[in-house]
Amino acid sequence: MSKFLAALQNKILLGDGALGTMLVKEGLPAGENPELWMLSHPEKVQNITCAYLAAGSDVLQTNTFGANRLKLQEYHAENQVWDINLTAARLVRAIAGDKAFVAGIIGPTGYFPAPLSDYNWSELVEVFREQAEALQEGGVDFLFLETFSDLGEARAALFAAKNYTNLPVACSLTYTNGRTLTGTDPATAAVVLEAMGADLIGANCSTGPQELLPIMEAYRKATGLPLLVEPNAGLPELIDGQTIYRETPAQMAQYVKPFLRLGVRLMGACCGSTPAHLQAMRAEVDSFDEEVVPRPAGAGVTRLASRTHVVTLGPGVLPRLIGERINPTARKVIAEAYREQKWDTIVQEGLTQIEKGAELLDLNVGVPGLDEGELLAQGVRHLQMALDVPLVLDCTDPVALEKGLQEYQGKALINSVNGEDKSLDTILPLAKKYGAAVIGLTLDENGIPDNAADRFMIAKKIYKRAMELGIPKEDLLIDCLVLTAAAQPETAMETIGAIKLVKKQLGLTCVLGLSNVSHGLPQRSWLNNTFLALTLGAGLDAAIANPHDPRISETLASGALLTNRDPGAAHYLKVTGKAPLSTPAAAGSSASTGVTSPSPAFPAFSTTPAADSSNTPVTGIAALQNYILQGQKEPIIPLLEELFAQPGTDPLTVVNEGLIPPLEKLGDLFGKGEVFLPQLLLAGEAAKTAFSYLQTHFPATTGQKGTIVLGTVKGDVHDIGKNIVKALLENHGYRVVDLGKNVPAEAFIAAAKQEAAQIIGLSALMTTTMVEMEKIIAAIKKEQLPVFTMVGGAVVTADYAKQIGADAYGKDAVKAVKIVQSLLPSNDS
Amino acid sequence: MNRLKIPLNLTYDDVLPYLGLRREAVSPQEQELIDHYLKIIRQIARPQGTWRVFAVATRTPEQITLKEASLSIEGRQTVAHFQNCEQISLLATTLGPEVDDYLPRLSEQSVAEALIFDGVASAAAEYLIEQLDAHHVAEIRRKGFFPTARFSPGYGDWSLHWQKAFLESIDATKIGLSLTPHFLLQPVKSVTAAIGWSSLPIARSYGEPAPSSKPCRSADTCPYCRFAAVCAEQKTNE
Repeated sequence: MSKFLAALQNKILLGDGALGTMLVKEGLPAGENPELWMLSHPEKVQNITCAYLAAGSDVLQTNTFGANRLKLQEYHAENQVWDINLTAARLVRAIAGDKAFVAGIIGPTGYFPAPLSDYNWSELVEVFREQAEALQEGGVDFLFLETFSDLGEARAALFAAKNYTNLPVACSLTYTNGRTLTGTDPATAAVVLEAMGADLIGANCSTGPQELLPIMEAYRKATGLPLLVEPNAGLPELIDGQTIYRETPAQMAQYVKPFLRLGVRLMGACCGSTPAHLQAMRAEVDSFDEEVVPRPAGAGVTRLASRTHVVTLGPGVLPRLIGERINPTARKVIAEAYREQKWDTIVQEGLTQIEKGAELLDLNVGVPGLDEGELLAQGVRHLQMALDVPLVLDCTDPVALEKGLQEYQGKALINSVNGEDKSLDTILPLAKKYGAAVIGLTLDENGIPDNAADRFMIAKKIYKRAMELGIPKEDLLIDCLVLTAAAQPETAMETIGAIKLVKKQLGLTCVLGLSNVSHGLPQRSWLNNTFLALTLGAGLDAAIANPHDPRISETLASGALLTNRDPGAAHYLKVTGKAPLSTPAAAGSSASTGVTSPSPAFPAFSTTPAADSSNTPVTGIAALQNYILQGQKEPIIPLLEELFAQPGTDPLTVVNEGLIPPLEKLGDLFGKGEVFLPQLLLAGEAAKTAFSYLQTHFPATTGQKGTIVLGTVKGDVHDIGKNIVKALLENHGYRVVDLGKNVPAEAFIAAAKQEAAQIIGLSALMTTTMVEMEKIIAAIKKEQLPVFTMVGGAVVTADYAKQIGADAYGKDAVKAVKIVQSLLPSNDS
Repeated sequence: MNRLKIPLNLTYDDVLPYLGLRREAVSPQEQELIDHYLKIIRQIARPQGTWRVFAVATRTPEQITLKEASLSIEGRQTVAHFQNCEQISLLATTLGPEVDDYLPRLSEQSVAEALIFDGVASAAAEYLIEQLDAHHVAEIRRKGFFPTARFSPGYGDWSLHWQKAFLESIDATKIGLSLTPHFLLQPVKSVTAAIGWSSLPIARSYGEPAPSSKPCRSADTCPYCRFAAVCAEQKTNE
């Protein structure tokens, strides 16, 4: 073990503070590159390093944050990467001697792996490799990857550091509001970085220390690794002409112990901090005598991750559904999509499976004649950006598999290795190298054994080999394989026996490719689900199956409850619809908001005593009112048909009691700010459905109330507001001729004449286009058209409307309707 | 020139202000639709951003010119916003044309859903520039400077017609940005913003935001623009 890691086990290390902001104080000119400046002003960097050493820092950083080829090429200095890193490392090493450790700083390139930028993963690895090797040559004690805001880029840097040097590696990300720039939360980062071999992980920069406490708390729950934190000294503020730093040295020091209690072993500071901050923090570190034992949640459980989410598999957690349908073997549409590079089709297939309950997705790209590695890399790129669930890379060709693993920014599951030496020798090292978990199939060069005992022996062999390579036990999963019951029904129970043996004797997570059991038989769902139930009873942790079979989710939920893996039956109640269903694993970015229960305050129709639908079913007019209020379109027509099937139902009563009152009530509530425009429009659309029905069946009851020509004026491309006015007017029974957007004056006039309109409505969002309204109104007056003009739009004011000679100003869509009602009074309004 | 794609990880709560909704008063239908369109926007949007840092070339109280850029920062209020700035970063973000194409098609089916989608898209556009801003500002701070608040042509007294030179200066066609003859950004769900590198600490706010001429000239993203509150106050006071 390196001296640095040994020291970290024995004591808490104090890092140093800001370099960038300190260099500015030392005279770094604006716009000058700090690394290049160091070459001509080494004494300035030495001053800062010495000051931190004197303040008590145990770890001193190199001035190499931007010393990578991509950053330096902005200064035409990409050829100096080696010199700068070597010089910087030696400079600090000379000062540190044996008194302090030297951290070789590697910062981000500013480019994220494709598709987020034009650089692909391997190119970035090479960039980091160059810097890492130079720092090692310069004699640093460990590499410190810091301020990364994309997990993919951090992963590339970590890979380079681990594979091309023999130094310990610390890896630190920066967070805003709990996530990195590209959406990773600390729990996910912890899982991925730990799997990739980081020795120390944490967070730096971001905002002040307060904001980093919950981040470090999340890290602590997710990993047993030692943690590091280097918060900013808050943000400086200019108050009454004075520069005020929110976090003084004393205030920064107050955060030291709370961080240490969360398992932080390397405590430093970032932007804005000075040696004075570190000196104050030194005293806190020295007086900390509490014992902190890392206790990550879910030890012994397999953890997989996408870029943004962690999914656990194993004892005590719910059995998972792995969607099997992105597989070209039996699906022409998928094979076709690969052939024509139609990635939207593949993404859509993934999204559909997630909606049906898949928590992980198997990705198989095996199409004869196509380049499997290239397809796997492409598939990973597209799916990982569009979906939040972890991917299972279904590929047994090590060359192709490696390409997919490089691209995957989460912690993947490899499907699969088997008991053949050829497979073990090539696949297992890839799992280790890229921080992936791997499924071991219980087959070898002799095929699939008939009986449970022999399958277990293969599992044991795979297990032994994985342990030799240092793959964590949780990251090896076993698939005990099932043969089709059509051919070998006698072996089905052998699979069950093998699962039991693996669970009991090896304690490994078990998955199963389920659907093979019913291959070639009718009613596959029967067999699949019955067998799934049996395997769950034996301890299965995840099934690779078809999410489109709704019974799979039902069987998993039932099985989870019956095998005591669903505390409080919480999941079962969700799936059965008895509790609010949330889909955190689905692509919805709203996942982090969790379940948002509808407001109890949301208006029910107070004049309807039967509104409490949980007890008494609401029928007739009252139901219609509720549907309108709630904006539910679908039940309206069936309800009306039911209503009019009863003799004596008067259509006018339906309109006057069922439709108008809820619309008016919503209008009132809108005026009071208790409901908002979307709901008003949804209700309007529900009412429109009813009106259309009545118009078709009882034309006499719904007369034509008038015609309005509407459009967004020339030059303006915003039309959502105009569309809303149109919708509300139509909901109230008016005929609207919509001319669209970017409409010239002539078109308004021609349409008004042709449609015999009574009102022309003009909309504009921009001050630059609003002036067009004046021209149109002047043209209308010149033509002496017998129409009213009404104007509206975000920037239009009552004054302006008056100034340009408009007849009316519609402040919002509801006002516009009121104006039209007053201008065109009709019998029934 | 830097260019990045940034995934849209905005949340339900980010959307509510853009629909004028209060969390406690959201109806189940609205909630369902917001969740739905959050998924849709992640599928169809092609969010990306670009930025470039320019050194200040000349400065008068009325104008700042930049080295290697055709853009000038003009207007006393606007120049005042960038006082003590030695460099100016120009940023642009867009959700891509797919979002613009989707909206009218949705409008034909349901204006209510179009309104919600529009709100989701506006929130996404704001999320995107906020993310790029946070990313970029961290770099400004690390280099010992103090970032100003974002400022764009059309804010205060900086005429909207500078949008053209803005886009040219950062070669924004690379991320698919263009202008209409009236200087509106195409795609609509796009944002441009200048951030100054102040050598002195500065609050990230707008010192003298209230545009004196009426109506509000910061209309591009109104009513959610930086000055919306000020403008609303002005309008009420009238």
